[in-house]
Amino acid sequence: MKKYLYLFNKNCFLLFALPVVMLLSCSKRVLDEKPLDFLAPENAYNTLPGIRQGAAGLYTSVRQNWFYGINDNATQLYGMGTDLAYYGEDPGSARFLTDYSTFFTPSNPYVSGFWNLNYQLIQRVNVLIKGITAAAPGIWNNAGQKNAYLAEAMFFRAHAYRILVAFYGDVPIVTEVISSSKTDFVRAPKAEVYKLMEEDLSFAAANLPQQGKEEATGRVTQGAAWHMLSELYLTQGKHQLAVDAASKVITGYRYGLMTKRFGTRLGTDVFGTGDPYFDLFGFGNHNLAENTEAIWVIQIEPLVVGGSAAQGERVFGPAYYRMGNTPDGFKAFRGPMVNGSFTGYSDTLGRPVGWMRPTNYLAYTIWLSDWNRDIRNAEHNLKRNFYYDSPGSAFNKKKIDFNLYPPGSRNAPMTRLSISFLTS
Amino acid sequence: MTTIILPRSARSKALLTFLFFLALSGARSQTVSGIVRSASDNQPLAGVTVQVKGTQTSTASDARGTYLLRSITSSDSLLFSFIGYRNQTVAVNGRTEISISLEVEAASLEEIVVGYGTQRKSDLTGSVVRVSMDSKSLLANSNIFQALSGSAPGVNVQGAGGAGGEPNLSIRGQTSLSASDRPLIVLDGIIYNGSVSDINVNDVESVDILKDASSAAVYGSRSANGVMLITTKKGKTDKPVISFNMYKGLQNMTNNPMKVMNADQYALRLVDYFYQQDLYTWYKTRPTSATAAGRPVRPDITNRNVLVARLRSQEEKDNFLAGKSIDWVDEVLQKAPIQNYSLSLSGRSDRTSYFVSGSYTGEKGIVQNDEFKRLTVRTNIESKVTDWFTLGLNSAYSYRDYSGLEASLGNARSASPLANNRIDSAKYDMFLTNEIYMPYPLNNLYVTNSDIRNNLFVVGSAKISVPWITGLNYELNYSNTYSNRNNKLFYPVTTPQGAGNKGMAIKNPSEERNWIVNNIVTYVKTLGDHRVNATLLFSRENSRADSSTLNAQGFDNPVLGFNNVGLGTVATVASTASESNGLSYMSRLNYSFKNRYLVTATVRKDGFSGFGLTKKFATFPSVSLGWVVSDESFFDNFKSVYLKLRASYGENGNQGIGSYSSFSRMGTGAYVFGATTAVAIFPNTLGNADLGWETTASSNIGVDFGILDRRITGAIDLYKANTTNVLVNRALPPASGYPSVWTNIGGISNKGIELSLSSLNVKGQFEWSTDLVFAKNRDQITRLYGGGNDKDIGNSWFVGAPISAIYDYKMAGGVWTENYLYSGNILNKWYPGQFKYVDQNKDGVIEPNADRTIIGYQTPNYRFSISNTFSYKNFSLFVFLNSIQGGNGYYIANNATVINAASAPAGIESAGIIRTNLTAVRPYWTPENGVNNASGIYYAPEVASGVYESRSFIRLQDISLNYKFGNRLLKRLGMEASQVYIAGKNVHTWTDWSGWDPETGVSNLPLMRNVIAGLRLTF
Repeated sequence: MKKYLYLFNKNCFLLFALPVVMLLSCSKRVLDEKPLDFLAPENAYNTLPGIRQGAAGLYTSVRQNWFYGINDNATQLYGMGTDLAYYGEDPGSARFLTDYSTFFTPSNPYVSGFWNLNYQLIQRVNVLIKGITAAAPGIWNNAGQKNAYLAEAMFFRAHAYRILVAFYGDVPIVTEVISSSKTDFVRAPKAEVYKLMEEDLSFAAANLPQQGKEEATGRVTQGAAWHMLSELYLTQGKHQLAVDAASKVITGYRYGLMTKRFGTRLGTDVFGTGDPYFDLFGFGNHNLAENTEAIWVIQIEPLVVGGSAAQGERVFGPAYYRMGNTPDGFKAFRGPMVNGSFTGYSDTLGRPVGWMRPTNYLAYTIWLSDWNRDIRNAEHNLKRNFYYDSPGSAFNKKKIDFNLYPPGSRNAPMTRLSISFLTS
Repeated sequence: MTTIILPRSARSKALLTFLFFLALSGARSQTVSGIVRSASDNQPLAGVTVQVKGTQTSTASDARGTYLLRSITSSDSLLFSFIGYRNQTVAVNGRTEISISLEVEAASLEEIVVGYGTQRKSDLTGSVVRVSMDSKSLLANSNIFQALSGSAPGVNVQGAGGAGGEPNLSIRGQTSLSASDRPLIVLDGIIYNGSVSDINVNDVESVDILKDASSAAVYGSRSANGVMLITTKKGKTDKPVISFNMYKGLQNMTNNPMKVMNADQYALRLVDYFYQQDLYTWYKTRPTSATAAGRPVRPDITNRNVLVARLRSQEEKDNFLAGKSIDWVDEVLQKAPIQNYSLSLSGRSDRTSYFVSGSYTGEKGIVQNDEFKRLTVRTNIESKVTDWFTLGLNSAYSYRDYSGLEASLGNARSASPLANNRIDSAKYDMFLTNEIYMPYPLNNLYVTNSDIRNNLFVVGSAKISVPWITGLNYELNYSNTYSNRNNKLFYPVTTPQGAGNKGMAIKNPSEERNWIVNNIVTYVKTLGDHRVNATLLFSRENSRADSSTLNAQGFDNPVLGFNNVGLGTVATVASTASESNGLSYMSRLNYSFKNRYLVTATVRKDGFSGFGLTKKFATFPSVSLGWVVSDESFFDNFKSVYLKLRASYGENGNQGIGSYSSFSRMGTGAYVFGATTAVAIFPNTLGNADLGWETTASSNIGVDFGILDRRITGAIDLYKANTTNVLVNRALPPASGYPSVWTNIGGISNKGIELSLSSLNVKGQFEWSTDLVFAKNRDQITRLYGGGNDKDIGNSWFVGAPISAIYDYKMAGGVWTENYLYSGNILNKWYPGQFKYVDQNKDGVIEPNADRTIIGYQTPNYRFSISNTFSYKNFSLFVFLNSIQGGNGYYIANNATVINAASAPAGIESAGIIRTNLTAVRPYWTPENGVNNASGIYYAPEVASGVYESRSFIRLQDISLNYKFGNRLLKRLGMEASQVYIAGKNVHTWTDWSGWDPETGVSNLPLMRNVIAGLRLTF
């Protein structure tokens, strides 16, 4: 048997060797893996365009998570579950923090997001800072540019810690790049977190571009850093420092409250009235140079790639499109015609769903002292009255009043809640 | 055509004999002819060797089973032999016509494909089963996995719904937490990464399944889930054979107990919902009797105006008062046709064999607009160029068309029965009653979709039988698989996806190319009682894939749809690309002594580019032993018994995750500065350079047996498998900025028993045979993150528990009632109409940390199937029962959305009850109706569990009746074996599951039932 095996080995080795030689070029080298369609942290930030894209990544994160972006969970919750607002569509249900005992669990994404999304941003900042520091000196266009990018990254780190420390108090401080599994995080005292934020924001205030010198519209400038620094000092009770920092914003740059009307809404007021506060939120007005009230504008530009869209506004209005008919039996809201049929809703609030119902405190009480003079409480800024849009009905353009309907016929939950809202 | 091969010596001998017999009158030479048939189905057998016993004179039967031998003497005996059939010797005794039937050898010398070669079944030492496609050819299986359901123990098929749906197939237990449990598929000897949906079932000769580690170990790092070897047909007979097979039929639901609320129930639900809200407010005051002050009164539900007032839209109110309603589930479903045609031509000449086939399959799903069409073409050619050199080329092309988005059964379930009926109208409401949680269930009918998949699979092989060393063979084969998919969509403004953006077009082409080169050296040597069979392999493979996505929105003019995306105003693009490489070395040695003692040993070394930097290569050894006990002399008294023992041990790998998994990756996004787009990048996954394969070490003990001359045969296998280095997507503290990282730290064990039994119960003109299959598997997580009692509650993984453990509150039976409340005999914060849970730690509070336990498992307890074949004269009947069984907490699933009409439990984000229609399978609890198996419709308990149901079922999975034309008729028609048949699939299902179908579980694409009539003609 041995003999045969030997024979077998001897003879077949030659034959076997032939194809092996043929394929020798494919030695272990072929197993080296090169990414084809993605960048790795090691090579992404070696160039200025790469670093610039990394900075854009920070803006993306903040817009997505906190400013009506795609992950608008947090946005939708603004106010809900507090003394400002509650879930208007079905307040008796267990949805949207209406009931803390059943909803407020660590695994609930609405809750965990406040922690997870900020640490995600912190890690993105840390990787970018490491990349900026390690990049070859020759990539920079001028001396200040490297520090400006570092400052921008630090500004975002402070932004993340600002939410974390406000929600959770003592939180772990992570300033290094995590490159392998790490599980031993320890909460640092609040004071240390404040200290890190002060360092980051001070560096940012000193090294960010001046207002108007930013590389692109919507990038942060020194004013934003001073503003956050002021807020941070105030939080800590360092009042004089807060005053100093706030004064930098007020006097150091060309900022000021808007006192005159401006921008795109001039002459196109839906309600026939308007004011500078109303103009601040006009489409196209945010980035205008004449808008001196804007310090840092989250960039949203529908229909442009990367422009995202603010989708959250419909959360706030009453679901009036469910009105059904006018008291005399016509469709209460006709709305504009789209694709050959009437939408049934028409308003500056789009198609509101009544999710976020302001408490009476927010809707009325806080305005009482200055009801008529506070422009934020003006009809065009805070809507309390709604009108039928129903050509053909005797009630067309008339204010909606539930007393016009037979008793008991309008007791669906949304309308019931809206009674006080609409008729007071 | 009949050939007589007469070697020179035989020829001269025959001549001498001839002269001799001429001289001696009385004894003379004669011819003998006849037909050889298979005893099992009376079909002619082609290729049977007919030999004059004791001489080298022989011939082979042709496609009609006929043979002719000349120069036979009366005293000769003929030996009929054919692989898979028992040899038969017949004395001529002066007859000129000898027609015989050969008995199938139940456990035969059949060659089994074992990976990089074949082996005689009797030589096998591992656990390998062969599923012959013969018995499956008269059933409506459009996918090969469908045909395998219940066919062999340890082969688990999970059916899939939808037209052209591909079932999920796994072998034995689950060995990985993250990786797919799909076995490695080897098609005609080549590792096949494509979809099995591309394979025409009629082209498949057999499927061999390597279940245990030692058999599968030849495939190393990808074999832990078992290996399935698919072999396609070859030409076998001298006479070309044309075969045509077609069937046509209809499909519908397997069982349909799922009911949604009708108009009255729908209108009532909100009245009760808000009434119960008020009622719970009152319950919370802890009343002590039903007459306590403040109890809200249920509105007068006989007053239709009371119901109307709660309806949320004017159109629902109007329709309700007008008595108009609509059953959306009915509107979405359809009776669906299924049809299949396949045609093949095959044959062989001295040196060349060929098989050419084409097929068309057309199938509609039971949900509107669900459609599948497939065309396949195959050519298998093998040619012996010289005595020592053979070339082969197998090529297969398939075209699959999944175009059309199916209507949504899920949306039909939530749609309002009181919505306006605008079916077939172009002015339909894309959101019924303007409610965005009620998308029009037929929206997808207005989406233009083209989804075409092409697959081309080519294997070229060259085999050299080294002339000067008998038994030494070298094979070089090269295969190339190219597949592409082109998915195109246009969503007009009348659909939700296109409404906000003036229409949206998506084009998503993708393609993948794999090539594999195998160098295989085999050496077979028999020396006396010793037999050696050695195989060496060197293999190299490469795979590249890329895809692009082109998305355009803003179509002022939508007429050209996705064909001209340039008409869109906003375009976004993205693309992906990947490449992986592998290097493999394998050696295998089989040794047998007296065909009785058998040893197989294998080592495979695999290199894979997707492994981490430090773990590029992995080695997998195995060894297995076999002993044919019945060949021993002490067994001589039991001649009719066959008994073989097998034992094996081996290691297998699972690559687990795909390429690039060891890398940290940057994600991409986009921001805008002013109106200028800015590409954004950010780190989003954490890499792990130590990432490697998962290793499963398993042992298998098996017995093959046959009694009563193998009229009853069977096999029993016991196995145990331990998987280490299991890839776990280990959750990281969120403070690290990454949710998780892949690491090889887990462990899983599996053990199981498999039994198969075949019996020929009645023999003769009426024949009855039975096959029985039984399998049971148990798995357990043995290690997660290193700790002995690790729990991963998010994934429901627990050390010491099965992978599919369900961690939840245990129902104590029924719901709390008002009497409990009034008597104070109720847990704090719990109220009537809420499910009762077991308070595990008896502290009076039901809370997540202390009161959840493992209440059951998703996996089955055991599976079994029984198939019976009856044949009488030209008729045969095949009846196949298949079953997956639970019990002891196994095979349960949370069916809450189907059986419990209630607002979403606490903490679960959902639009809830007020905005959609709900199930009407179980009536919801009210204080008056005494319902004990469902909650109140207003349902906001402190904590809530799933509502579980057993998925156990027994199914009449296949039944077919087939009639074979008689020989006289066939002769007149110039045909050979031809038959007509009717068959049904999933004809009846016995189950207590309340969803669409127990096998597909909580899914809105249920399995289908079909009935077909078919025809098979052979020329």
